[in-house]
Amino acid sequence: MTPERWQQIETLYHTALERVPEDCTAFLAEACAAAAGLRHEVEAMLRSAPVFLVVPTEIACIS
Amino acid sequence: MNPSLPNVTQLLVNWNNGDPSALNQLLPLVNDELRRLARNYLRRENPGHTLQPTALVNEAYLRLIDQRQVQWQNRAHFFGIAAQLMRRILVDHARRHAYAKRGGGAIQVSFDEGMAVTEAKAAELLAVHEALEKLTAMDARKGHIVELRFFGGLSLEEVAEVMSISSPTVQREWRAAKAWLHRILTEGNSDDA
Repeated sequence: MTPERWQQIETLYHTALERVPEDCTAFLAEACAAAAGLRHEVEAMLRSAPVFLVVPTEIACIS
Repeated sequence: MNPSLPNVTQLLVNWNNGDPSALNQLLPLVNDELRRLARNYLRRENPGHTLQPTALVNEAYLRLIDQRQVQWQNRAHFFGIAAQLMRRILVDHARRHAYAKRGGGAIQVSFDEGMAVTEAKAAELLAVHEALEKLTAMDARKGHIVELRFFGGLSLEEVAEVMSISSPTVQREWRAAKAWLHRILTEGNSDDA
């Protein structure tokens, strides 16, 4: 993934996070109208678990 | 603190005061101490125990640094460089583990013997490491944030200090970085367009 595309995805991700869930879908549909792949990427990030990435050997959750 | 060690505290303070050559002297000392602690830890523990990276980093800090001479900012910077070193130690270990599992040479196994990292854990660690390299390639700042948090156990405030950016920025970027990594690690590669 290019830095430019990632920047696009990240901006959409943060904007989507600020929306209430009902608005979020409409926002993404509109913002990604011409780019289904982009929408897929952002939605996948929005689905990700909030508690994730613990130190690799079972110790100290740092989320 | 061991008085026979070079003055690591002074090197840390000098580096934080803007002397870049101090870092070059500091890195190998911290690295040696982390590796030494990792080996000792593995020797004295039961095979069922796992390596605790953040505990090792903390122990190295307590052994090398005179607490009376440093401020919290110095501590953050120490943990910052230790995070990078710890990452290398863990990745090296996971690779050796994978190599030994495949029936590789006996030399590599000695460091591994007491190590209770399962095959799944070693694979997971390498997967995180590789995903993190991809993240760094497209967004170096986020890659650094994750390295500091994940391998050094730094708080958001400590990351902000080490990277000279604001805490809210760290928090925002950490969230996005985690979401992307989670997506990569659970759903496979994103498109590379």
